[in-house]
Amino acid sequence: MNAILLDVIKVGFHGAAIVMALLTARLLHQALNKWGPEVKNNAGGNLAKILKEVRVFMMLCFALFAIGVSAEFYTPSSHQAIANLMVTPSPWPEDLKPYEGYVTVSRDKLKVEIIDGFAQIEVGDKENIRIGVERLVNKLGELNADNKRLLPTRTPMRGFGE
Amino acid sequence: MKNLIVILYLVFIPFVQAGDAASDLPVDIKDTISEKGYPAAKAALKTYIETNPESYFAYSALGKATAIDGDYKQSINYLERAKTIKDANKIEDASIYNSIGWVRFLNGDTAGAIADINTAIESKSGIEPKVKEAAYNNLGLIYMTNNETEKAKQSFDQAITEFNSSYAKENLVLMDQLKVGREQQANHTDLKNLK
Repeated sequence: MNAILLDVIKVGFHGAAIVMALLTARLLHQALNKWGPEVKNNAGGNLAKILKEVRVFMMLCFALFAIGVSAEFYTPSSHQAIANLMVTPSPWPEDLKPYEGYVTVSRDKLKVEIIDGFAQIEVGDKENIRIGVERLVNKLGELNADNKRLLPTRTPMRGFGE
Repeated sequence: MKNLIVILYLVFIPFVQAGDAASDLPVDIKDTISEKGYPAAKAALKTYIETNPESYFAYSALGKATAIDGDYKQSINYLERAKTIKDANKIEDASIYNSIGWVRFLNGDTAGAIADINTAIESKSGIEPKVKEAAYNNLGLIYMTNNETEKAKQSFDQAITEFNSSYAKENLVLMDQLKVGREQQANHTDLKNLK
């Protein structure tokens, strides 16, 4: 499954638990207020106890939510690490060397560094970026071939001059 | 009178040899080349080479036809064979270096291409103006593709100075357009990064 989607689901579950606990606490609180101080002291004694437990559960959910969110920010997960990816055709085609400086990743406009036929990319989904770079290299290859076909039209007699 | 003929022969011997090299093809093949281009004469050239394996011009023409068809490796083989025949027969024709160099570049050998085309340009004789103009443009295009814009500009400027080359003028315009496009792209990327 997509790593980003997985994170959204995890955070969503914590959020839903907090909301449920909040609603339960409100329900119990309103019930106790409606029945008055007598009920609150006698029959409502059990409800007040449950309300305390619900509040503890809610605090626990808040704590887990906070830990989860800060972990997302401070711990580099697999899709945020620097990735050395091999691109196809590999190694990086020799006649595409002049294009290296112009390669950018669309999401963050980061330059892709080509080192010994490997594309080094920071930030982003590793698998999707790999596929993206492969497509990019293939597209550049096609453009390069098209340019080569056009070049002979820009010199006398297709380059032979006679 | 006899002495005069001998002197005239000695003076014009290089031109006679070069002329022979260019004119050893049958008239029908020459007509096909001039009317329809080199690829149209490919089959006839192959047949001609079977009976004339030492024909410099046939191998040279076949090399060009094969390059235009996109088979660069085979084209280099034919052109190298033409060069060997040229050297053996001392034929004064430097255009072969431009042809080999250009096809080498199309085949991916940039360094070899530059060396060969420079040999064609630097040769004092045996190169027609149209070929030299093509050689300057070829060199400019190679440097332009290699992102060596200053050297590319020098080559195109040379073609304009010596031959008033319309191709070189257009190539300079193209190179400027590419430069502007790259600068705009670089600025756009910098702005995005700043944001």
